[in-house]
Amino acid sequence: MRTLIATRISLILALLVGATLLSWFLDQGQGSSSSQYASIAILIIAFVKVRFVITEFMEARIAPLPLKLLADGWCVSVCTLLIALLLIAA
Amino acid sequence: MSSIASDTRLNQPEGGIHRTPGEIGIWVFIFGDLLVFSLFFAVFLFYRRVDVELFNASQAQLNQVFGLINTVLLLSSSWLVATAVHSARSGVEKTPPVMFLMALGCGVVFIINKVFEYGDKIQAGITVNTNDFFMYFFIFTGVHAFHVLIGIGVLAYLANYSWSRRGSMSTSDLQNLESGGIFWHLVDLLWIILFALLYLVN
Repeated sequence: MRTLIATRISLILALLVGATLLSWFLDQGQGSSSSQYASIAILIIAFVKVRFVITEFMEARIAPLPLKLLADGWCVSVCTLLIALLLIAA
Repeated sequence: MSSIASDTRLNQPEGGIHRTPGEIGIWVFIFGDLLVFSLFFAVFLFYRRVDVELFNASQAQLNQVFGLINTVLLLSSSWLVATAVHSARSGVEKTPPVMFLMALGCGVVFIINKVFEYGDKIQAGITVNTNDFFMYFFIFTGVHAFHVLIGIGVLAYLANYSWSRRGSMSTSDLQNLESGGIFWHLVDLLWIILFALLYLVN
């Protein structure tokens, strides 16, 4: 059991849970003036988490380059689009 | 039928050899689903800008603890599934089915949590017809919950599959486990963005 827990993906899980709590605290600490920056940070953190899920849990890191590029391209383009929509609303 | 122990491609995924995890078909499905949800995310933020005040006031009525607990549940279940696949690849016999069942348990708790959350809202008189925010909230989380239910079925299948093939798992068996696991990770991935958009961004 110890060998199961002390693995690379366990470290990834710890990072993902830590990032989730960081997003939570960013949301809780939002004042009206810092709200926009906090929201952008929350979105970026979400997509960094998503990239970790794709590369580590889905194991895209061992996939051929086109699949990796497609995954990274999706993360960057959708994250950029959503941040742009958020800024337009502001 | 090639033995898993003799298949260096699957046994040593970190050895610098590039291969597509699971079947190529599951990745086609994954990117198709991601495209549909990308549209959902963009539509939500596009219409949010029309009435930011309403969206922010509606979001304040959500209980974020439900979202936070569900996020940790799905992240943990993803870890369990990834660990199950790694264990199966290493030739461990009994761990994969147990891990898949534990991940399934996380999925069931997620659904129970979602039922309580929906019940809480409906009791407060909030439904899909209340306003645009709650229309998107119920539709997007409902479509996602449907993915979770399918995923629970997939995990039950994987638990049985890995149990029935323990000790004699072939390369194609392992690829099937990977494909099922990748679908469950998609469920986790989509929730990460839904949680940020619906519960946190304002």
